[in-house]
Amino acid sequence: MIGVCRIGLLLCLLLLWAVAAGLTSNNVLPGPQDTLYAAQRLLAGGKLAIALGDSLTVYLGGYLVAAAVGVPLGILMGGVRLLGKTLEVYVFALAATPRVAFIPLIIVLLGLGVEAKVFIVFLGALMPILINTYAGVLAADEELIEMARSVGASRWRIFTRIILPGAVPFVIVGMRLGATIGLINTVVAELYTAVNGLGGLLALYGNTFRMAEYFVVVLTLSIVGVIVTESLRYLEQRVSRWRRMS
Amino acid sequence: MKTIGFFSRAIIVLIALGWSAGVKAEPFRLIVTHLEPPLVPNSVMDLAVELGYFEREGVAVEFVRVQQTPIAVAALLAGEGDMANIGVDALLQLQVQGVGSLKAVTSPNKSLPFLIAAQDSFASPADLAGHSFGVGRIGSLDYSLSSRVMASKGVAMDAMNVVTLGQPSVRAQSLAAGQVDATTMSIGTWMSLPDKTGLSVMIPPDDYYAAAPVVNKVNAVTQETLDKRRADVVAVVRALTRISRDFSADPDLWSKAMAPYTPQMNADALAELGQSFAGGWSVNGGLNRSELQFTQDWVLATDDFKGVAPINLDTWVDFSVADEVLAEIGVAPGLDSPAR
Repeated sequence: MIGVCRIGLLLCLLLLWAVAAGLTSNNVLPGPQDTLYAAQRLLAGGKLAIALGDSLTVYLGGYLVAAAVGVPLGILMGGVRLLGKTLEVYVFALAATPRVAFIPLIIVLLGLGVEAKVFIVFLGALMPILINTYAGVLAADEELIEMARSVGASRWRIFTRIILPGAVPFVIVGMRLGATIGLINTVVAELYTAVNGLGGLLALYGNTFRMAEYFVVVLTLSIVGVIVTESLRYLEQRVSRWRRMS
Repeated sequence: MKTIGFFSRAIIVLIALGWSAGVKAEPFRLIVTHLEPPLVPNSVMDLAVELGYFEREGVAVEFVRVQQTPIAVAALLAGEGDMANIGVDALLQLQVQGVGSLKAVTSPNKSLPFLIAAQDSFASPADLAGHSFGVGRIGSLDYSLSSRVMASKGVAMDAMNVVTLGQPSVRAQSLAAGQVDATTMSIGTWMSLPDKTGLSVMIPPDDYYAAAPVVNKVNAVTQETLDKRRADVVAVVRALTRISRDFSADPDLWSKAMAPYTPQMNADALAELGQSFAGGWSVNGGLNRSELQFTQDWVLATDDFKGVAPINLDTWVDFSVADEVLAEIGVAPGLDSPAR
Protein backbone atom coordinates (compact mmCIF):
# COMPACT_ATOMS: atom_id res chain seq x y z
CA MET A 1 0.00 0.00 0.00
CA ILE A 2 2.76 2.41 0.98
CA GLY A 3 4.53 1.60 -2.29
CA VAL A 4 1.45 2.55 -4.32
CA CYS A 5 1.05 5.79 -2.35
CA ARG A 6 4.70 6.68 -2.92
CA ILE A 7 4.48 6.01 -6.67
CA GLY A 8 1.28 8.07 -6.81
CA LEU A 9 2.98 10.96 -5.04
CA LEU A 10 5.97 10.68 -7.40
CA LEU A 11 3.67 10.91 -10.42
CA CYS A 12 1.92 13.96 -8.91
CA LEU A 13 5.28 15.62 -8.29
CA LEU A 14 6.40 14.90 -11.88
CA LEU A 15 3.18 16.41 -13.19
CA LEU A 16 3.58 19.46 -10.97
CA TRP A 17 7.20 19.78 -12.11
CA ALA A 18 6.19 19.63 -15.80
CA VAL A 19 3.50 22.29 -15.26
CA ALA A 20 5.87 24.56 -13.30
CA ALA A 21 8.57 24.18 -15.98
CA GLY A 22 6.07 25.19 -18.64
CA LEU A 23 5.15 28.31 -16.71
CA THR A 24 8.67 29.52 -15.88
CA SER A 25 11.66 30.65 -17.92
CA ASN A 26 14.09 27.90 -18.91
CA ASN A 27 16.82 29.87 -17.11
CA VAL A 28 15.30 28.61 -13.88
CA LEU A 29 13.45 25.31 -14.21
CA PRO A 30 13.92 22.65 -16.91
CA GLY A 31 11.16 20.16 -17.68
CA PRO A 32 11.32 16.46 -16.73
CA GLN A 33 11.94 15.45 -20.35
CA ASP A 34 14.89 17.87 -20.76
CA THR A 35 16.29 16.58 -17.48
CA LEU A 36 16.00 12.99 -18.69
CA TYR A 37 17.89 13.81 -21.90
CA ALA A 38 20.54 15.63 -19.86
CA ALA A 39 20.89 12.57 -17.62
CA GLN A 40 21.42 10.38 -20.67
CA ARG A 41 24.11 12.76 -21.95
CA LEU A 42 25.89 12.91 -18.60
CA LEU A 43 25.77 9.14 -18.16
CA ALA A 44 26.99 8.50 -21.69
CA GLY A 45 29.89 10.95 -21.28
CA GLY A 46 30.91 9.37 -17.97
CA LYS A 47 30.99 12.80 -16.29
CA LEU A 48 28.28 11.92 -13.76
CA ALA A 49 29.88 8.60 -12.82
CA ILE A 50 33.28 10.23 -12.17
CA ALA A 51 31.74 13.02 -10.09
CA LEU A 52 29.59 10.51 -8.18
CA GLY A 53 32.68 8.41 -7.45
CA ASP A 54 34.56 11.48 -6.15
CA SER A 55 31.63 12.54 -3.97
CA LEU A 56 30.97 9.05 -2.57
CA THR A 57 34.65 8.69 -1.65
CA VAL A 58 34.52 11.93 0.33
CA TYR A 59 31.06 11.25 1.77
CA LEU A 60 31.60 7.66 2.88
CA GLY A 61 35.13 8.43 4.10
CA GLY A 62 33.98 11.31 6.31
CA TYR A 63 30.81 9.55 7.43
CA LEU A 64 32.48 6.26 8.41
CA VAL A 65 35.18 8.08 10.39
CA ALA A 66 32.43 10.14 12.09
CA ALA A 67 30.58 6.93 13.03
CA ALA A 68 33.80 5.29 14.20
CA VAL A 69 34.55 8.25 16.47
CA GLY A 70 31.04 9.41 17.38
CA VAL A 71 29.53 6.15 18.61
CA PRO A 72 32.37 5.09 20.98
CA LEU A 73 32.82 8.65 22.25
CA GLY A 74 29.07 9.02 22.85
CA ILE A 75 28.99 5.71 24.75
CA LEU A 76 32.01 6.78 26.77
CA MET A 77 30.46 10.16 27.58
CA GLY A 78 27.20 8.49 28.64
CA GLY A 79 28.93 5.73 30.57
CA VAL A 80 31.43 7.90 32.44
CA ARG A 81 29.31 10.75 33.78
CA LEU A 82 32.22 12.98 34.76
CA LEU A 83 33.60 12.78 31.22
CA GLY A 84 30.13 13.39 29.77
CA LYS A 85 29.44 16.43 31.91
CA THR A 86 32.93 17.81 31.16
CA LEU A 87 32.70 17.41 27.39
CA GLU A 88 29.03 18.05 26.66
CA VAL A 89 29.18 21.84 26.77
CA TYR A 90 32.01 21.84 24.21
CA VAL A 91 30.24 19.29 22.03
CA PHE A 92 27.04 21.37 22.03
CA ALA A 93 29.05 24.53 21.26
CA LEU A 94 30.72 22.81 18.31
CA ALA A 95 27.40 21.40 17.11
CA ALA A 96 25.90 24.89 17.07
CA THR A 97 28.75 26.39 15.02
CA PRO A 98 28.28 26.30 11.25
CA ARG A 99 30.95 24.07 9.75
CA VAL A 100 31.47 26.61 6.93
CA ALA A 101 33.05 28.88 9.57
CA PHE A 102 35.95 26.42 9.93
CA ILE A 103 36.71 26.16 6.22
CA PRO A 104 39.45 28.85 5.99
CA LEU A 105 41.24 27.15 8.90
CA ILE A 106 40.75 23.71 7.35
CA ILE A 107 42.22 24.95 4.04
CA VAL A 108 45.29 26.27 5.85
CA LEU A 109 45.75 23.04 7.85
CA LEU A 110 44.69 20.37 5.36
CA GLY A 111 44.76 22.10 1.98
CA LEU A 112 42.12 21.82 -0.72
CA GLY A 113 42.23 18.10 -1.43
CA VAL A 114 40.38 15.02 -0.32
CA GLU A 115 41.68 15.21 3.29
CA ALA A 116 40.08 18.62 3.79
CA LYS A 117 36.81 17.46 2.22
CA VAL A 118 36.65 14.29 4.32
CA PHE A 119 37.29 16.36 7.44
CA ILE A 120 34.45 18.77 6.62
CA VAL A 121 32.07 15.80 6.17
CA PHE A 122 33.40 14.26 9.38
CA LEU A 123 32.72 17.46 11.33
CA GLY A 124 29.18 17.64 10.01
CA ALA A 125 28.25 13.98 10.52
CA LEU A 126 29.98 13.60 13.88
CA MET A 127 27.72 15.83 15.97
CA PRO A 128 24.33 14.14 15.47
CA ILE A 129 25.91 10.69 15.89
CA LEU A 130 27.75 11.70 19.05
CA ILE A 131 24.90 13.62 20.65
CA ASN A 132 22.29 10.95 19.91
CA THR A 133 24.52 8.14 21.16
CA TYR A 134 25.19 10.12 24.33
CA ALA A 135 21.47 10.78 24.78
CA GLY A 136 20.69 7.09 24.13
CA VAL A 137 23.04 5.91 26.85
CA LEU A 138 21.61 8.49 29.28
CA ALA A 139 18.04 7.44 28.46
CA ALA A 140 18.54 3.90 29.74
CA ASP A 141 15.49 2.32 31.39
CA GLU A 142 15.99 2.96 35.13
CA GLU A 143 13.47 0.28 36.15
CA LEU A 144 15.27 -2.38 34.14
CA ILE A 145 18.60 -1.35 35.64
CA GLU A 146 17.13 -1.48 39.14
CA MET A 147 15.68 -4.90 38.43
CA ALA A 148 19.08 -6.14 37.15
CA ARG A 149 20.79 -4.75 40.21
CA SER A 150 18.29 -6.52 42.48
CA VAL A 151 19.24 -9.87 40.95
CA GLY A 152 22.96 -9.13 41.39
CA ALA A 153 23.99 -8.21 37.82
CA SER A 154 27.42 -6.60 37.58
CA ARG A 155 27.87 -3.00 36.32
CA TRP A 156 29.53 -4.30 33.12
CA ARG A 157 26.64 -6.71 32.50
CA ILE A 158 24.10 -3.94 33.06
CA PHE A 159 26.02 -1.67 30.66
CA THR A 160 26.35 -4.26 27.89
CA ARG A 161 22.97 -5.98 28.28
CA ILE A 162 20.64 -3.12 29.17
CA ILE A 163 22.16 0.29 28.54
CA LEU A 164 23.82 -0.35 25.15
CA PRO A 165 20.90 -2.26 23.53
CA GLY A 166 18.55 0.46 24.77
CA ALA A 167 20.72 3.12 23.12
CA VAL A 168 20.69 1.44 19.69
CA PRO A 169 17.59 3.23 18.32
CA PHE A 170 19.12 6.59 19.35
CA VAL A 171 22.41 5.66 17.70
CA ILE A 172 20.65 4.72 14.46
CA VAL A 173 18.65 7.97 14.49
CA GLY A 174 21.94 9.84 15.01
CA MET A 175 23.50 7.95 12.14
CA ARG A 176 20.56 8.76 9.88
CA LEU A 177 20.79 12.44 10.77
CA GLY A 178 24.55 12.28 10.35
CA ALA A 179 24.13 10.68 6.93
CA THR A 180 21.92 13.55 5.77
CA ILE A 181 24.14 16.28 7.22
CA GLY A 182 27.22 14.47 5.90
CA LEU A 183 25.77 14.52 2.38
CA ILE A 184 25.03 18.24 2.66
CA ASN A 185 28.56 18.82 3.94
CA THR A 186 29.98 16.81 1.03
CA VAL A 187 28.52 19.38 -1.37
CA VAL A 188 29.69 22.23 0.89
CA ALA A 189 33.20 20.75 0.94
CA GLU A 190 33.24 20.35 -2.83
CA LEU A 191 32.16 23.94 -3.31
CA TYR A 192 34.44 25.57 -0.74
CA THR A 193 37.70 23.67 -1.35
CA ALA A 194 39.03 22.49 -4.73
CA VAL A 195 35.85 22.22 -6.77
CA ASN A 196 35.01 18.69 -7.93
CA GLY A 197 32.49 15.87 -7.49
CA LEU A 198 28.74 16.42 -7.59
CA GLY A 199 29.16 19.77 -5.80
CA GLY A 200 31.53 20.87 -8.55
CA LEU A 201 29.02 19.89 -11.22
CA LEU A 202 26.31 21.84 -9.35
CA ALA A 203 28.51 24.94 -9.40
CA LEU A 204 29.51 24.44 -13.02
CA TYR A 205 26.00 23.93 -14.38
CA GLY A 206 24.49 26.57 -12.08
CA ASN A 207 27.02 29.18 -13.19
CA THR A 208 26.44 28.44 -16.87
CA PHE A 209 22.65 28.12 -16.62
CA ARG A 210 22.61 24.51 -17.83
CA MET A 211 19.65 23.83 -15.59
CA ALA A 212 18.69 20.42 -17.00
CA GLU A 213 22.16 19.09 -16.12
CA TYR A 214 21.93 20.92 -12.80
CA PHE A 215 18.72 19.09 -11.97
CA VAL A 216 20.30 15.74 -12.85
CA VAL A 217 22.95 16.42 -10.19
CA VAL A 218 20.30 17.51 -7.65
CA LEU A 219 18.31 14.33 -8.30
CA THR A 220 21.47 12.19 -8.05
CA LEU A 221 22.19 13.70 -4.61
CA SER A 222 18.60 13.02 -3.56
CA ILE A 223 18.86 9.40 -4.68
CA VAL A 224 22.14 8.92 -2.76
CA GLY A 225 20.46 10.43 0.32
CA VAL A 226 17.43 8.13 0.02
CA ILE A 227 19.58 5.01 -0.46
CA VAL A 228 21.74 5.77 2.58
CA THR A 229 18.89 6.72 4.94
CA GLU A 230 16.69 3.81 3.83
CA SER A 231 19.61 1.41 4.35
CA LEU A 232 20.03 2.76 7.86
CA ARG A 233 16.30 2.43 8.50
CA TYR A 234 16.51 -1.20 7.41
CA LEU A 235 19.46 -1.65 9.78
CA GLU A 236 17.44 -0.02 12.55
CA GLN A 237 14.56 -2.44 11.98
CA ARG A 238 16.95 -5.39 12.09
CA VAL A 239 18.77 -4.39 15.27
CA SER A 240 15.60 -3.23 17.07
CA ARG A 241 13.64 -6.39 16.33
CA TRP A 242 14.00 -7.56 19.96
CA ARG A 243 12.27 -4.37 21.13
CA ARG A 244 9.18 -4.97 19.01
CA MET A 245 9.11 -8.67 19.96
CA SER A 246 9.21 -7.78 23.65
CA MET B 1 83.56 -6.18 -16.05
CA LYS B 2 80.58 -6.53 -18.34
CA THR B 3 78.37 -6.99 -15.27
CA ILE B 4 79.72 -3.77 -13.71
CA GLY B 5 79.11 -1.94 -16.99
CA PHE B 6 75.54 -3.22 -17.13
CA PHE B 7 74.83 -2.19 -13.54
CA SER B 8 76.38 1.26 -13.98
CA ARG B 9 74.28 1.82 -17.12
CA ALA B 10 71.21 0.57 -15.30
CA ILE B 11 71.88 2.93 -12.40
CA ILE B 12 72.35 5.87 -14.79
CA VAL B 13 69.07 4.97 -16.55
CA LEU B 14 67.25 4.64 -13.21
CA ILE B 15 68.66 7.97 -11.98
CA ALA B 16 67.65 9.60 -15.26
CA LEU B 17 64.15 8.09 -15.01
CA GLY B 18 63.91 9.17 -11.39
CA TRP B 19 65.04 12.67 -12.31
CA SER B 20 62.54 12.98 -15.13
CA ALA B 21 59.81 11.55 -12.87
CA GLY B 22 60.83 14.12 -10.27
CA VAL B 23 60.45 16.90 -12.82
CA LYS B 24 57.05 15.59 -13.85
CA ALA B 25 56.04 15.10 -10.23
CA GLU B 26 56.22 18.83 -9.53
CA PRO B 27 53.64 20.53 -11.70
CA PHE B 28 53.02 24.25 -11.51
CA ARG B 29 49.66 24.61 -9.77
CA LEU B 30 47.56 27.46 -11.10
CA ILE B 31 44.55 28.39 -8.96
CA VAL B 32 41.60 29.73 -10.94
CA THR B 33 38.14 30.81 -9.83
CA HIS B 34 36.27 29.36 -12.79
CA LEU B 35 35.30 25.75 -13.32
CA GLU B 36 35.70 25.59 -17.07
CA PRO B 37 37.02 28.11 -19.63
CA PRO B 38 34.99 31.32 -19.15
CA LEU B 39 33.55 33.23 -22.11
CA VAL B 40 36.05 36.06 -21.63
CA PRO B 41 39.77 36.49 -22.47
CA ASN B 42 40.62 35.00 -19.05
CA SER B 43 40.00 31.65 -20.79
CA VAL B 44 43.59 31.85 -22.12
CA MET B 45 44.75 30.04 -18.99
CA ASP B 46 42.61 26.96 -19.65
CA LEU B 47 43.14 27.06 -23.39
CA ALA B 48 46.92 27.33 -22.97
CA VAL B 49 46.75 23.85 -21.45
CA GLU B 50 44.37 22.52 -24.09
CA LEU B 51 46.40 23.92 -26.99
CA GLY B 52 49.80 22.94 -25.56
CA TYR B 53 51.22 26.43 -24.94
CA PHE B 54 52.46 25.62 -21.43
CA GLU B 55 53.91 22.33 -22.59
CA ARG B 56 55.84 24.09 -25.35
CA GLU B 57 57.32 26.44 -22.74
CA GLY B 58 58.44 23.44 -20.73
CA VAL B 59 56.13 23.84 -17.76
CA ALA B 60 53.48 21.35 -16.65
CA VAL B 61 50.53 23.38 -15.41
CA GLU B 62 47.90 21.77 -13.23
CA PHE B 63 44.70 23.62 -12.34
CA VAL B 64 43.29 23.98 -8.86
CA ARG B 65 39.72 25.13 -9.34
CA VAL B 66 37.95 26.97 -6.54
CA GLN B 67 34.79 29.04 -6.41
CA GLN B 68 35.88 32.47 -5.21
CA THR B 69 38.89 34.77 -4.82
CA PRO B 70 39.01 34.48 -0.96
CA ILE B 71 39.41 30.69 -1.25
CA ALA B 72 42.02 31.13 -4.00
CA VAL B 73 43.97 33.53 -1.76
CA ALA B 74 43.73 31.18 1.26
CA ALA B 75 44.92 28.30 -0.92
CA LEU B 76 47.84 30.29 -2.34
CA LEU B 77 48.95 31.43 1.12
CA ALA B 78 48.61 27.85 2.42
CA GLY B 79 50.95 26.61 -0.33
CA GLU B 80 48.18 24.74 -2.15
CA GLY B 81 49.07 26.46 -5.42
CA ASP B 82 51.92 28.36 -7.07
CA MET B 83 49.97 31.11 -8.83
CA ALA B 84 46.40 32.36 -8.49
CA ASN B 85 44.16 34.43 -10.71
CA ILE B 86 42.56 36.78 -8.18
CA GLY B 87 40.80 40.12 -7.92
CA VAL B 88 42.97 43.22 -7.52
CA ASP B 89 40.77 44.36 -4.62
CA ALA B 90 41.60 41.16 -2.69
CA LEU B 91 45.30 41.60 -3.36
CA LEU B 92 45.12 45.18 -2.08
CA GLN B 93 43.18 44.02 0.99
CA LEU B 94 46.07 41.68 1.79
CA GLN B 95 48.53 44.54 1.36
CA VAL B 96 46.72 46.82 3.77
CA GLN B 97 46.50 43.94 6.27
CA GLY B 98 50.26 43.50 6.09
CA VAL B 99 50.32 40.28 4.03
CA GLY B 100 52.86 41.65 1.58
CA SER B 101 54.19 38.39 0.22
CA LEU B 102 51.95 38.25 -2.88
CA LYS B 103 53.02 39.86 -6.15
CA ALA B 104 51.04 40.35 -9.33
CA VAL B 105 53.19 39.16 -12.24
CA THR B 106 50.73 39.25 -15.12
CA SER B 107 47.10 39.88 -15.97
CA PRO B 108 45.74 37.55 -18.65
CA ASN B 109 42.51 39.56 -18.73
CA LYS B 110 43.00 43.04 -17.29
CA SER B 111 39.39 44.02 -17.25
CA LEU B 112 36.61 41.45 -17.45
CA PRO B 113 34.11 42.74 -20.02
CA PHE B 114 31.24 43.72 -17.72
CA LEU B 115 27.88 45.08 -18.81
CA ILE B 116 24.70 46.22 -17.10
CA ALA B 117 21.62 44.29 -18.15
CA ALA B 118 18.09 45.34 -17.28
CA GLN B 119 14.45 44.49 -17.88
CA ASP B 120 13.69 45.90 -21.31
CA SER B 121 10.92 48.07 -19.86
CA PHE B 122 13.72 50.41 -18.73
CA ALA B 123 14.92 52.51 -21.64
CA SER B 124 17.74 54.40 -19.95
CA PRO B 125 19.80 54.30 -16.72
CA ALA B 126 17.83 57.27 -15.37
CA ASP B 127 14.68 55.10 -15.42
CA LEU B 128 16.26 52.78 -12.83
CA ALA B 129 15.98 55.39 -10.06
CA GLY B 130 13.78 53.92 -7.33
CA HIS B 131 14.03 50.41 -8.79
CA SER B 132 16.04 47.37 -7.74
CA PHE B 133 19.66 46.78 -8.75
CA GLY B 134 21.39 43.45 -7.96
CA VAL B 135 24.99 43.47 -6.70
CA GLY B 136 27.34 40.87 -5.22
CA ARG B 137 27.57 42.64 -1.89
CA ILE B 138 27.85 46.23 -0.70
CA GLY B 139 31.45 47.30 -1.31
CA SER B 140 32.23 44.42 -3.70
CA LEU B 141 34.10 45.07 -6.94
CA ASP B 142 30.95 44.84 -9.08
CA TYR B 143 29.19 47.22 -6.66
CA SER B 144 32.01 49.77 -6.77
CA LEU B 145 32.46 49.54 -10.55
CA SER B 146 28.72 49.77 -11.18
CA SER B 147 28.44 52.76 -8.82
CA ARG B 148 31.03 54.54 -10.94
CA VAL B 149 29.36 53.54 -14.22
CA MET B 150 25.87 54.54 -13.05
CA ALA B 151 27.23 57.82 -11.64
CA SER B 152 28.71 58.56 -15.08
CA LYS B 153 25.16 58.19 -16.43
CA GLY B 154 23.82 60.57 -13.79
CA VAL B 155 22.31 57.93 -11.47
CA ALA B 156 23.60 57.55 -7.90
CA MET B 157 23.61 54.02 -6.50
CA ASP B 158 21.72 55.36 -3.46
CA ALA B 159 18.86 56.37 -5.74
CA MET B 160 18.22 52.67 -6.48
CA ASN B 161 17.13 49.84 -4.23
CA VAL B 162 20.38 47.89 -4.02
CA VAL B 163 19.85 44.14 -3.47
CA THR B 164 22.81 41.93 -2.46
CA LEU B 165 22.68 38.61 -4.31
CA GLY B 166 26.19 37.13 -4.41
CA GLN B 167 27.56 35.30 -7.44
CA PRO B 168 27.06 36.68 -11.00
CA SER B 169 25.04 33.60 -12.03
CA VAL B 170 22.59 34.21 -9.17
CA ARG B 171 22.31 37.88 -10.13
CA ALA B 172 21.65 36.92 -13.75
CA GLN B 173 19.02 34.37 -12.75
CA SER B 174 17.36 36.90 -10.46
CA LEU B 175 17.19 39.33 -13.36
CA ALA B 176 15.82 36.67 -15.70
CA ALA B 177 13.21 35.69 -13.10
CA GLY B 178 12.15 39.34 -12.74
CA GLN B 179 13.27 39.56 -9.12
CA VAL B 180 15.55 42.55 -9.80
CA ASP B 181 15.30 45.26 -12.44
CA ALA B 182 18.97 45.48 -13.39
CA THR B 183 22.34 44.01 -12.52
CA THR B 184 25.98 43.80 -13.58
CA MET B 185 27.47 40.68 -15.16
CA SER B 186 30.25 39.73 -17.55
CA ILE B 187 29.46 39.39 -21.22
CA GLY B 188 30.19 35.68 -20.83
CA THR B 189 27.45 35.29 -18.22
CA TRP B 190 25.08 37.31 -20.42
CA MET B 191 25.82 35.16 -23.46
CA SER B 192 25.31 31.98 -21.41
CA LEU B 193 21.76 32.93 -20.40
CA PRO B 194 19.60 30.63 -22.53
CA ASP B 195 16.46 32.78 -22.39
CA LYS B 196 16.87 36.55 -22.62
CA THR B 197 13.22 37.31 -23.28
CA GLY B 198 12.28 40.63 -21.71
CA LEU B 199 15.91 41.56 -20.99
CA SER B 200 18.30 43.90 -22.72
CA VAL B 201 21.82 45.26 -22.37
CA MET B 202 21.49 48.75 -20.94
CA ILE B 203 25.22 49.57 -20.75
CA PRO B 204 27.44 47.52 -23.11
CA PRO B 205 31.00 46.43 -22.16
CA ASP B 206 32.77 49.23 -24.07
CA ASP B 207 30.73 51.94 -22.32
CA TYR B 208 31.14 50.16 -19.01
CA TYR B 209 34.93 50.02 -19.39
CA ALA B 210 35.08 53.65 -20.54
CA ALA B 211 33.32 54.69 -17.32
CA ALA B 212 35.35 52.39 -15.05
CA PRO B 213 38.74 51.66 -16.69
CA VAL B 214 40.24 49.58 -13.93
CA VAL B 215 42.24 46.35 -13.88
CA ASN B 216 40.19 43.78 -12.01
CA LYS B 217 42.09 40.51 -12.18
CA VAL B 218 45.77 39.62 -11.96
CA ASN B 219 47.84 36.48 -11.59
CA ALA B 220 49.68 36.60 -8.28
CA VAL B 221 52.45 34.48 -6.83
CA THR B 222 54.11 34.45 -3.44
CA GLN B 223 57.59 35.96 -3.12
CA GLU B 224 58.77 32.45 -2.19
CA THR B 225 57.50 31.01 -5.49
CA LEU B 226 59.08 33.91 -7.35
CA ASP B 227 62.42 33.17 -5.68
CA LYS B 228 62.31 29.38 -5.94
CA ARG B 229 60.44 28.76 -9.22
CA ARG B 230 61.15 31.92 -11.18
CA ALA B 231 61.87 29.98 -14.41
CA ASP B 232 58.42 28.33 -14.21
CA VAL B 233 56.71 31.65 -13.45
CA VAL B 234 58.41 33.22 -16.47
CA ALA B 235 57.44 30.21 -18.64
CA VAL B 236 53.79 30.50 -17.57
CA VAL B 237 53.68 34.25 -18.32
CA ARG B 238 55.42 33.67 -21.66
CA ALA B 239 52.87 30.97 -22.61
CA LEU B 240 49.94 33.22 -21.64
CA THR B 241 51.41 36.12 -23.59
CA ARG B 242 51.98 33.98 -26.68
CA ILE B 243 48.44 32.51 -26.68
CA SER B 244 46.99 36.02 -26.16
CA ARG B 245 48.92 37.23 -29.21
CA ASP B 246 47.67 34.30 -31.29
CA PHE B 247 44.04 34.92 -30.29
CA SER B 248 44.45 38.64 -30.90
CA ALA B 249 45.75 37.90 -34.41
CA ASP B 250 43.01 35.35 -35.13
CA PRO B 251 39.90 35.60 -32.88
CA ASP B 252 38.38 32.58 -34.69
CA LEU B 253 41.09 30.47 -33.11
CA TRP B 254 39.63 31.38 -29.72
CA SER B 255 36.02 30.70 -30.71
CA LYS B 256 36.95 27.30 -32.16
CA ALA B 257 38.91 26.38 -29.02
CA MET B 258 35.97 27.44 -26.85
CA ALA B 259 33.31 25.60 -28.84
CA PRO B 260 33.53 22.28 -26.92
CA TYR B 261 32.90 24.13 -23.64
CA THR B 262 29.89 26.08 -24.80
CA PRO B 263 27.31 23.60 -26.11
CA GLN B 264 24.60 26.16 -25.31
CA MET B 265 26.01 28.69 -27.83
CA ASN B 266 26.01 28.50 -31.60
CA ALA B 267 29.22 28.97 -33.60
CA ASP B 268 28.22 32.37 -35.03
CA ALA B 269 27.52 33.88 -31.60
CA LEU B 270 30.81 32.53 -30.33
CA ALA B 271 32.71 33.95 -33.32
CA GLU B 272 31.00 37.32 -32.79
CA LEU B 273 32.00 37.24 -29.13
CA GLY B 274 35.60 36.47 -30.09
CA GLN B 275 35.65 39.46 -32.45
CA SER B 276 34.29 41.70 -29.67
CA PHE B 277 37.42 41.04 -27.59
CA ALA B 278 39.67 42.77 -30.14
CA GLY B 279 42.16 44.85 -28.18
CA GLY B 280 41.26 43.08 -24.93
CA TRP B 281 43.97 40.41 -25.15
CA SER B 282 47.02 40.81 -22.91
CA VAL B 283 49.54 40.63 -25.73
CA ASN B 284 52.28 42.18 -23.56
CA GLY B 285 51.59 40.63 -20.17
CA GLY B 286 48.78 42.96 -19.15
CA LEU B 287 50.75 45.11 -16.70
CA ASN B 288 50.75 48.86 -17.28
CA ARG B 289 52.01 51.04 -14.42
CA SER B 290 49.66 53.96 -14.99
CA GLU B 291 46.60 51.66 -15.34
CA LEU B 292 47.56 49.78 -12.19
CA GLN B 293 48.23 53.02 -10.30
CA PHE B 294 44.81 54.34 -11.39
CA THR B 295 43.23 51.04 -10.29
CA GLN B 296 44.99 51.15 -6.93
CA ASP B 297 43.97 54.76 -6.29
CA TRP B 298 40.39 53.99 -7.25
CA VAL B 299 40.15 50.80 -5.17
CA LEU B 300 41.65 52.52 -2.12
CA ALA B 301 39.01 55.23 -2.42
CA THR B 302 36.15 52.69 -2.15
CA ASP B 303 34.21 52.01 1.06
CA ASP B 304 36.11 48.79 1.85
CA PHE B 305 39.37 50.75 2.17
CA LYS B 306 38.25 53.79 4.14
CA GLY B 307 41.04 55.21 6.30
CA VAL B 308 43.87 52.96 5.10
CA ALA B 309 47.38 54.31 4.54
CA PRO B 310 48.65 54.78 0.95
CA ILE B 311 50.40 51.79 -0.62
CA ASN B 312 53.40 51.73 -2.93
CA LEU B 313 52.48 49.97 -6.21
CA ASP B 314 55.78 48.06 -6.23
CA THR B 315 54.85 46.26 -3.02
CA TRP B 316 52.22 44.22 -4.84
CA VAL B 317 53.27 44.32 -8.51
CA ASP B 318 56.45 42.74 -9.90
CA PHE B 319 57.07 43.90 -13.45
CA SER B 320 60.33 41.99 -13.81
CA VAL B 321 58.75 38.70 -14.94
CA ALA B 322 56.75 40.33 -17.75
CA ASP B 323 59.82 42.42 -18.66
CA GLU B 324 61.91 39.26 -18.92
CA VAL B 325 59.29 37.72 -21.23
CA LEU B 326 59.04 40.86 -23.39
CA ALA B 327 62.84 41.11 -23.62
CA GLU B 328 62.78 37.62 -25.09
CA ILE B 329 59.76 37.71 -27.41
CA GLY B 330 59.55 41.46 -28.09
CA VAL B 331 56.74 43.96 -27.55
CA ALA B 332 53.62 43.48 -29.67
CA PRO B 333 51.65 46.41 -31.06
CA GLY B 334 48.17 46.91 -29.66
CA LEU B 335 46.24 48.35 -26.75
CA ASP B 336 48.16 46.41 -24.11
CA SER B 337 50.94 48.93 -23.64
CA PRO B 338 53.62 47.67 -21.20
CA ALA B 339 54.35 51.16 -19.78
CA ARG B 340 56.57 51.08 -16.72
